[in-house]
Amino acid sequence: MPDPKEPLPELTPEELRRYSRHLLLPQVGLEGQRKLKAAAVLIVGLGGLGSPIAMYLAAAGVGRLGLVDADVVDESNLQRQIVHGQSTVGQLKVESARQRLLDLNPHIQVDVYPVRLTRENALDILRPYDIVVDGTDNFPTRYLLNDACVFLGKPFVYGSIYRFDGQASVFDARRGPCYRCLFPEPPPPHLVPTCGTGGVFGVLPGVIGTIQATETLKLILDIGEPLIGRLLLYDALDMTFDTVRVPKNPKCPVCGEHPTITELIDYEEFCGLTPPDQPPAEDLEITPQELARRLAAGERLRVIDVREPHELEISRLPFAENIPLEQLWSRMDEFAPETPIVFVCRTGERSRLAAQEFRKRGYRAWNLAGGINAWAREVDPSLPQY
Amino acid sequence: MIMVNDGRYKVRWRPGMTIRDLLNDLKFSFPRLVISVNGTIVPRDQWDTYTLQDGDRVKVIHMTAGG
Repeated sequence: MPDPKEPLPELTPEELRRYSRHLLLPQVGLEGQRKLKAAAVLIVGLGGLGSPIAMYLAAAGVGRLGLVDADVVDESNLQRQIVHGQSTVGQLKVESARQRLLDLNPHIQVDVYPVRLTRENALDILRPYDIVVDGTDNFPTRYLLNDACVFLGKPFVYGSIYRFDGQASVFDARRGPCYRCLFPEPPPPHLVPTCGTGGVFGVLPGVIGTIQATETLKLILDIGEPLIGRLLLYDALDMTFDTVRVPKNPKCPVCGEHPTITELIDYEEFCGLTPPDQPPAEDLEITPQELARRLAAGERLRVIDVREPHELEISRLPFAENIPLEQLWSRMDEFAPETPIVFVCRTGERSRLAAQEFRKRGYRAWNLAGGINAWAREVDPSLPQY
Repeated sequence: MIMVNDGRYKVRWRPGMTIRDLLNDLKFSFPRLVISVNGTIVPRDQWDTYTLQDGDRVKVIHMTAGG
């Protein structure tokens, strides 16, 4: 929170006009609006969640926003990432967002960090901010943010989404549980579906991100009942909200009574993404041209498309068998160890997990690099990309 | 009767039934599930000992990564 010893900044006449509807609320008022102006909030990830978070915090007059994201805007982001637009496709997300936010509110400061958050840079990037808001799309960065916030004594406003389900909470280890109290360990990576593989309903991050923005503003203003110690669960199909109480775990390795993690660790390894026994990625990959050549040469190999059946309606390889990833693990005994297998999905992400797991078990498995979209680009341009 | 996820699953209660027994009955084997009973999270290390009462409301929560 802004340093209570520092005097709050004054509001200019333009700002008084702009924030009129806040000034009318007794819970915000002039002093609250000055607290918002004095506050600094870091948003990590400018995707589905980060878009409404950044836009509502900018509109509300949070004086300084920091944006962290190393990605560029892709056309497939625009179905839900409303801070970006057609005209900024191809630009860095942090730059695209900065333009939109300063158009929304030129009275605020927007700092950009076009980098991936790592154990090396995280503490330095987080330190100047009062609150950290989670717009990340993966477990390693979430555990990294949680641990860094515990070490720095900052609130971590959590949100995550998948398909039609969303979650939100406020983790502040000084006043309640942290993310690790609730989720001590990540699931194994081959069982983690992401929005890029499982899909996401476009309005879902709008709901969850707006809840995160609400909680952030409440923390700055010190009003209402924060989501500390509670996990909010939203189901867009049933249209239900539920909250469950999350006790602080006294045995938590980061915020418990006898912490065993006292500095940032290797989060990719913690989440099982770079175990030492894994074959290097390049040995696992086969290019579309190479696969086309081997098929044309009549080589006996099985091509397994691990996408969901409804994705095959968009594009399919006539020579591939379809076994959705979820069913694959229980059907491993249908494969002969001597027959080469090439796994395929949309972009090569899901199928790489399949190839890795099969390799570990002694199968001759490869991953089609870049997935069916790369096949469409490089071998068969008649197939649509999605 | 144990109501799971707002009645999506209903499981017959028996005396001494633990959270682990319930998950076995449901055939839920996904690693890293989070369970709440009557609105409070029960840590994994208590699943073998936490005995459910008839009529308890259980929620099975998945970790989600997306953003």
